[in-house]
Amino acid sequence: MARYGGYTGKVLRVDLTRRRSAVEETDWNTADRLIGGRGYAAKVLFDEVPAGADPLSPENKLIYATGPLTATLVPGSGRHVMVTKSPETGFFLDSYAGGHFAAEMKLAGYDFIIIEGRADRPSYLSIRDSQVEIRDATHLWGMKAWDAETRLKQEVGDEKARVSLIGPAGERLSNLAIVQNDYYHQCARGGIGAVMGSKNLKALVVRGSQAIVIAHPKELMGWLSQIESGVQANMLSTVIADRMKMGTPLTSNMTNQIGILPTKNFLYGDYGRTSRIDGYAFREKVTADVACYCCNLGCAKMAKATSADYHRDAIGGPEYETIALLGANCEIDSLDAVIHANALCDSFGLDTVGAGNVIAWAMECFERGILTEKDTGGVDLRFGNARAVFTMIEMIANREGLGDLLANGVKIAAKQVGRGSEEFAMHVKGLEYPAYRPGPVSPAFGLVYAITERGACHRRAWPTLAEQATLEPYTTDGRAALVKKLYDQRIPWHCALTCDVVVVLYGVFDRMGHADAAAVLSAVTGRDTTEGDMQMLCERVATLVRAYNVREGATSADDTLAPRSFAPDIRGPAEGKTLTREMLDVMLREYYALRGWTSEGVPTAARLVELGMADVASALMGGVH
Amino acid sequence: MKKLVIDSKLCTGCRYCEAICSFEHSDGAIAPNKARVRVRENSFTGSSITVACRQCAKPRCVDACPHFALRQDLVLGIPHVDRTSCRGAQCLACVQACPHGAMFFDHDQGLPVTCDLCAGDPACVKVCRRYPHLPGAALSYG
Repeated sequence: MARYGGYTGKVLRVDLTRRRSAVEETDWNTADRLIGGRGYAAKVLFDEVPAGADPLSPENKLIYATGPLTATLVPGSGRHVMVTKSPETGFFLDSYAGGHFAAEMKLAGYDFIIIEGRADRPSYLSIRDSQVEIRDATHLWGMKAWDAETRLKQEVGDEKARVSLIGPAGERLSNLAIVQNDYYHQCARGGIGAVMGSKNLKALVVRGSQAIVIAHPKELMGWLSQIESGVQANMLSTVIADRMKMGTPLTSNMTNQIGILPTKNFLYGDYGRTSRIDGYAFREKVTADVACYCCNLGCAKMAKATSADYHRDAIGGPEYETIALLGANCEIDSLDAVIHANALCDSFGLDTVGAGNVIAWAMECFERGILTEKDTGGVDLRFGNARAVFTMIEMIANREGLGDLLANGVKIAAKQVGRGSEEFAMHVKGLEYPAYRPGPVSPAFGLVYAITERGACHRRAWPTLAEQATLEPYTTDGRAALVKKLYDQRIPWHCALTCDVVVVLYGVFDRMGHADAAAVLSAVTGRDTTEGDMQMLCERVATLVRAYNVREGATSADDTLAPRSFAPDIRGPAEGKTLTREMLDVMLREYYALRGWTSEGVPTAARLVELGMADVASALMGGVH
Repeated sequence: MKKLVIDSKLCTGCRYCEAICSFEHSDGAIAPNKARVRVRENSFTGSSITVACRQCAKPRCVDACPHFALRQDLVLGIPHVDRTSCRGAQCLACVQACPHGAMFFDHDQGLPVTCDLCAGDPACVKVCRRYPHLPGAALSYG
């Protein structure tokens, strides 16, 4: 059925309202132009979800997407993306996860699963190759995510089944709700779990027994051996070996040194007690080195708190983002406490980034007297109080008291609380800042956060090292070009689809660029793919997603940062220096121009037509002339 | 005799071995449930057990076959299945006899399958990562 290797050639469409499903052929025209994953799913969302749709209504769709490289031996290919309209931002949302779910979904025979409508009662989807059933999940509603995953595996009688599901936070439509798979892997951002919850869908349980066909096996093996020789030659001389040992928490050593580790609700970019929660401290807690499907970097560590006062079992994580947001940003210097907070978030189905961000905001409100113990229900919500963080996580998940407000995310919470708290509500377009502090030390991260379609995000471009090493400090020089280059390096892999951490790490020995993407796609799919095709793909995907947001009402004014990010740094390497609004504007105009958009960041009809997307132009502008 | 040595404590559960095994034993297709090495990966605890033929000195699978369809390869130490005399799904005595759970059944071929050591150069060993901070890789051959 599949026209090319790497694809299954099938799309599973599930209508929860009518409780039925159908299998369609993968749209080869779209696959030719947008490959799969993020690009393909963006087109489905653009075409099928009407402009202005309420993200939590049955009109919105939830798309699980793999790509032709998923589960194909390419390192990091155990990855899928979920695409929907975000309830937190009202814009495009793509959220990725590793683990083993993606491989199982593809082995069950599906490139994409499109979920529509809303079930009339709590339900879950059981998929065993071509057998698809919508089953009752009333007994699972309210159950914590880890318990529900184990229960579902028992219920389908197959411990090898893979589960993607929401916790209580998703059921309660929190904008911080995640969709979790394989216990510790999350599509975490933008309230994706709330979209699933709004559809009364608790879980997907998938088991597959099919094969993924590679068009040119010898070429694939040849490419893989080139990459592996690069890894072997560079493993000990670069950051790769350290990354294999310490996982993502190693990043805290780097960001703290540069001065962009979020501390005390992003007030500072360095944390004096980082050594207590950094990569080396983390390694002391590691109980097992774990890897996602077909990944030989293994940053998915299991870690366990040393003190018996905290969560007793080893858990997957915490990742750097969790350590930074629930640690440094809340001034918590105990890794055991961070592990405990991480365990709470995972089991309730909450995003550790969003939770750490919004709790730090509430802590600042508390210390400034904007919120009092009356608001917190007696919780002493000062920075550094780990027990208060645990309590807030539970209150957010259960929507109790102040938690009901925080569950909506920092943008809505600050708007409601007011009294100047919006000045330090750290988000872009509603999505909470992750763990890189934009400011004079890193104007490039300011640009990345501002232009990322889903809101503040570090996974579309990661300028951390390149900016510091190659660009004039405290200026805008070269930022737009650097950010576009880094973003464009990742777009093919987000469509293909593999983990972008592998892209960054193998990038240190100059691999995983467009030449590699083209080579491996040619080998796997059998469709001749060139570097030029990859550049065209980047322009198409970036412009399509931008067009989606423009249709939803986004303007250049949404491409901004939290007010705090425009204030002078009060300590650290850039003390007294400022990333100004004017500097951001300069970078934005440069970036828009590089993408071929207007100075207001709008893709023109001519540009869309040039990129082969006349239909998008038509939908956006009401006809092309 | 060279042995396929498994140290499950070092297994990260990435299942690269399953993927490459199925790939090498087919015309370039990846199907982990056809693999001759399997990982019992427990995502919750983060522990994995790698399962493959242990090259037993006195293989129970060979002894158990009532149809004399299995014989031991004296060079590699692994069993070979004779397709013509094997009764396939009607029997499964070898699958049940293996104390390591390393004799699998391929429903498409209707035959038991197990590790063939890739004729002495196992593909799984080549992809099994030796992490620099760990004492070795989960799979080795020697």
